[in-house]
Amino acid sequence: MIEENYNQNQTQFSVDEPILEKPPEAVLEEVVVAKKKPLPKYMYLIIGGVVFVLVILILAIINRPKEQIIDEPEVVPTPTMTQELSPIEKKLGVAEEKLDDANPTTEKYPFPPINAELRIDEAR
Amino acid sequence: MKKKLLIFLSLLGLPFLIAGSLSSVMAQQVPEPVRNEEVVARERLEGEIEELQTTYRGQLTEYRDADKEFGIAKDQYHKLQTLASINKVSEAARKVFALRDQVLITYLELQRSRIIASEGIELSLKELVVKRIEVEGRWLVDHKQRVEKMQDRSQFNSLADEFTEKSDDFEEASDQAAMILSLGDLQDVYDRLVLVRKDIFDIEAQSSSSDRTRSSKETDRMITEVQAVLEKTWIDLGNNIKKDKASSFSSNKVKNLDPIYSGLNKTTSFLRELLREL
Repeated sequence: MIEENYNQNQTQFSVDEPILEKPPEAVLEEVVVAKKKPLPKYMYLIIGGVVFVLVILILAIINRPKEQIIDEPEVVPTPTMTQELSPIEKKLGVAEEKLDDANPTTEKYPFPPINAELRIDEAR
Repeated sequence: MKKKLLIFLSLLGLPFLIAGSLSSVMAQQVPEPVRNEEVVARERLEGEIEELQTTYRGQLTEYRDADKEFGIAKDQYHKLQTLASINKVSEAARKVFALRDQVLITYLELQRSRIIASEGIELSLKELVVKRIEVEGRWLVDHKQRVEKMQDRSQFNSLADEFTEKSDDFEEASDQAAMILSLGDLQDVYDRLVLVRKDIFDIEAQSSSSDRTRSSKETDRMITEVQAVLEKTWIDLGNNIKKDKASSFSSNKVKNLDPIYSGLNKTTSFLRELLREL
């Protein structure tokens, strides 16, 4: 009984085995390369316009004239003492610097160190 | 496609052209600040002084080098007594004599410019010293020209003697200039301190206390004292200059100017205190 169920033909097995059978080929869908539509002309004009405005803005920022300092009369809304004194202190500071510079112990305008006795022959 | 690219590029370039032309127009429209003539003249004079200082330093270095070369040539001449050594020492002498004249010319020009630029010097004294400087300067220019034309060794010796004899005059002119400049510097400080005192006075007028009044009086007394010493010193210096004796004043420079300097120092301290008290 067992022998009936068991097929001892090994050749048949190898022949029947679908080893080299080609697998069914998958049908690939055709890749359709969609062609881009060219931009309409007005788009170029819009891009150009935007770039134009940007460049103008950048240049306007770069070339912005420096703010001129206009001498306006000093407005002293809150008369605190420190605000009033600072210009005087400044004047005093300048005077002190000039005084240090004018110290008579230092030689500020020395005569040039030249030899007034230069002569080829010693005897005069 | 190329056409589109060209249009795009021209669109990009256009703003630069417009901006460039706009900025140049704007620059033309902005008016230059009007400067005071006096300020312009002062700036020019200060520039001139700086330039003269640089020139002077350069000439002094050249002179020192020439002096060394002359010393070497002179030693050789005394040792060898050859014609070649005579030629060499004569050329070295020409160079050093001319440079010595030039150094003094530039130095006197520098002093002249400083005096003109100075704010603390009385006008009559300024004119007196400037004239003196110009006289010495003209002599030096003439001497330098003769030095450059000299050929003979004995002529070099006589030109050297002329310079030696004149050297006291140069020193006198230099002392006159240096003294009025030094006193002028102190006078300038004094004038500035008086202005500071006036500013403080204006504030004091708004509110006063007995302590402050005392401090103010002390400060004013000090200012008056310094003013008196300054006036006396100007008179002394003026007399010395008129007698061509600025050298004697100069040799006592510290003794003559220190009382003013100390007085100004004290005044500055007083003014600082007054400012703190306000």
